Amino acid sequence: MKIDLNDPKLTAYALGELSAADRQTFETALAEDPAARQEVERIQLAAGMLKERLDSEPCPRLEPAQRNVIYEKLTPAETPVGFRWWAGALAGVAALVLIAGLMLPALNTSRGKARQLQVYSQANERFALTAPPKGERPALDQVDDALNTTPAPVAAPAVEEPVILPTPVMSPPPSDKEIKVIRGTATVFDSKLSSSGGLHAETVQLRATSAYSNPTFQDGSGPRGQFGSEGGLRNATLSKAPMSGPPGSAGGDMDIASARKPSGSGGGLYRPENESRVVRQVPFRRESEFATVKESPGTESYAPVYDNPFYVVTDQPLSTFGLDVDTASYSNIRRFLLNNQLPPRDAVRIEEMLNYFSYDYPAPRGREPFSLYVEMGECPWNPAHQLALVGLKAKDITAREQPPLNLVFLIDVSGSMQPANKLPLIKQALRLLVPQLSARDRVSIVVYANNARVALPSTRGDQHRRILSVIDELNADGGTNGGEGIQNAYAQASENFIKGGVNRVILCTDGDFNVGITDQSDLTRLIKDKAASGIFLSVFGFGMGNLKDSTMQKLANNGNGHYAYIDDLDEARKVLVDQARSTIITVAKDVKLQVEFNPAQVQAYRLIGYEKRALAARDFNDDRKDAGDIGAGHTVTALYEIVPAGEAVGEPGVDALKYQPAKNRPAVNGEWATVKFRYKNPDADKSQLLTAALKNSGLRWRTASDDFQFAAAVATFGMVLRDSPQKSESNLNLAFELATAGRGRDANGYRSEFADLVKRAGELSR
Amino acid sequence: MQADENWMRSVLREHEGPLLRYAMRLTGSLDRARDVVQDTFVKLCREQSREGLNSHLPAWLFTVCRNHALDLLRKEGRLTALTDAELAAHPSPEPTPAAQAADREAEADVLRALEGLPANQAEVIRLKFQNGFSYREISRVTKLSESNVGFLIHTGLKTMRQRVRALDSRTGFQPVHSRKNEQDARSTEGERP
Repeated sequence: MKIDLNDPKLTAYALGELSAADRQTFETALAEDPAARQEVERIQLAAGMLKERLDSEPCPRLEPAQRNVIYEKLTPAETPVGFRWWAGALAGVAALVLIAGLMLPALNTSRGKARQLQVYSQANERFALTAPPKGERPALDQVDDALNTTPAPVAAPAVEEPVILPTPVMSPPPSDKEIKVIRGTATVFDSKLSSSGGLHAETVQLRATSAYSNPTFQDGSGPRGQFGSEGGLRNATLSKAPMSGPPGSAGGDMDIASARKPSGSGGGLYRPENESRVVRQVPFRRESEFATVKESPGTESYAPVYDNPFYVVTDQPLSTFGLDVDTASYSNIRRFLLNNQLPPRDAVRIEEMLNYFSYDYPAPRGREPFSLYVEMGECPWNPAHQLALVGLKAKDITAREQPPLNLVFLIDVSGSMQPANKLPLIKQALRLLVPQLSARDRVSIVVYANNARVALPSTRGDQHRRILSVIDELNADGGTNGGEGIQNAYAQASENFIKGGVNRVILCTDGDFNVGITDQSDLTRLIKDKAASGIFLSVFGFGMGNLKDSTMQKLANNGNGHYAYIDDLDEARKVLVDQARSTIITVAKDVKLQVEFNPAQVQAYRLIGYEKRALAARDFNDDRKDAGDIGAGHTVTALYEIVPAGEAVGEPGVDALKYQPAKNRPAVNGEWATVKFRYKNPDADKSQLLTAALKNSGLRWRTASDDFQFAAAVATFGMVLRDSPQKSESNLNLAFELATAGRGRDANGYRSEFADLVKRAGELSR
Repeated sequence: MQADENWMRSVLREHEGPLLRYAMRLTGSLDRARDVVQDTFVKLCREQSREGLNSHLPAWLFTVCRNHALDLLRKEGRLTALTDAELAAHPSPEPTPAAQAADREAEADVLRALEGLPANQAEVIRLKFQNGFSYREISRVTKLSESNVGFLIHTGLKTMRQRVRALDSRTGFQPVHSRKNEQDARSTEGERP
């Protein structure tokens, strides 16, 4: 008897689902049918593979609060109600105690040790101090571009030839500067100033390094001559975050770290003033921390981040930075933790973690597109300090007010995009987005692998079926040429430009531009030009293994866009559905914040995160200076740790100043700081100003607002993950406690998920 | 009291994840899935005959979970392709020739193929291969007849094998995906000593 290969019994037999009687009959038939036997084997193989594949699908978890509800309901039905409540509370307490126990061993012991110690050689250190040849010196307002085009080779050897040298010995620098080595790290002095006696040996003068990093030589003379010249130095400044466009970035990010170490360690890279002091040893990295540079996982790459140091208010009363709404770092960290790994420290950018979450700041009133919210209270990780929260909420736009969209999806379909968390996830994400499009909108899809091709010419947004069918047919194959794809995408966007609408190219990739035009400066320039013409770029990063975090962040920053990392369908839903308007519709561009601290109240301060967003004080009022963009309904949050006046700044500090004005100034209405905030409307060239005064509520952190507590939780977690030199008493228990206390309504469960991640990090670091 | 809690703790540990995964497929969102699974366990708390349940606890949980999920969707008026009648009628998206060719690429993705199946086939296939239920248990959970379950699994598996070469190698087992996974694993191992 021949067995019909379409008979479901075949599968049932292969899977062991036939009853004993049926099985016997079937086996008899099978004995005479080799084709059926082979088919059974194949079913079993497919079943095994399918099982394996499905097994590895991630399992979500309930929120701790939900589990507590379950335990609460567990009480036998006959128990009186009052007792039941009590038992439930007990269960909750038990759970918390358990969690605390799990988390006791904090991260800070394990991180440094595991790292490979690497300190770079003397020769490489010198690169940092040797300015590029005269001909390549960039002009004032093209620093970024110029930094990109500066050839890499000088710095490149730093990667290839790391020398284990715990205490590098420095030769004299090529100028009148003197370099000393203290505790294995390099310090740059201004010899003139240190000899004038005003400064302690551990004070860092950043004159020389900032002059190099921010080459602005107004008189056009050579850099060496400029090292000593006040005129040139006063103008030495960064037009933008230096790490996003450092010299030799095309040669890899690692060399930047080494080349920049002396300057970066002073924290003054971001500071225009030469005479500013940096207090504490903190900006100097411990030896173990040097290793970060080499620990980029696989071929993933992260630009190094150096924590902001404390600044003394009398030296540096202004803190200035561009706001940022990127969220990629948080979802990337989550990906690591869910994979049972601690993230590399340079993958941890605290501002992106903070801004992943939305906060309940009061909505803007009237026609103002923004509201500014400030709050101050006890600093949870250092009770002697204060923590100030500066929050910004952008006006949301209703569906009716929503401008028409002209979206061009630029999708990487190269071979590296095959894994389920790349192209297949992009396709799922796009399927979520498509139903939201209407007849006023336009969509096109450009794909690139070896060649770029327009997969979907600009199509009206309500033709969902047509759009979806193109999405369904996308397949990953071949090499990558990101540049050509970008040009095609911009062409599509220009051809279908909607005046008064949102014109945006959305790049979906793992960031691996590995074939063809990989000249980043060309690419960056194109993106900047297009942003100027009204076509913005968003970058969505997918997948893992060769995630080029730094490249993608840079591209998005230059394109007035934002960068999100999408690790699963939930994240896609957050970015493309729940927060689609804030992702896609920019309500303000070049958003900058400046805080002026009152020395009568504040001794020193430090900005937590935003290292890559620092601006020179005078850039704040300079409307030509580019900064971050903000989408509809977005909230942005920044935290300052504040050392109150009279409080010792602590640790190897700074000698008292002899020549500075007396400190006893009257307090201005008890104000600690004034927060100033500038933005431009998306199509405007002139900026608007908002200000708010920061006063101390005197609140203990436990009585502060939910948002304050939660933001502090995020900062704490970030500092622990970064093993920040500024983390003080931060630990995972504190992060968890803050996160739990500040959970608030948490409608989307993001804050609960955060608490879960903190817990997971605790388990991993045991 | 303590014994009860320990019992619930172990039940949660074992089943919470798989139930959430299942509920997410049904409801399309993690938030809804969490609500549904919470309700499922709350119902388990009220169940008096725990001992009687033990042997078929997983199937019981999945059945309750599925009912809660469908209730929720019905309440929200979002129940679209999930009633049994509609499930059967839900058309399998016929892959274009280009897609077919690509799907036969060695590394075409199994999950993608699974998602390309009609929802009822995908559901029973998951229950079978992801949750390890027997035909009979699946029949209880989904309220489909056992032979219907057998048919759906047979058909779904066959379609997947046609669309994904890796699932149906005629020249012996070629674990293309596991090779890829090893690569991934290697690169992630390298991330952190």
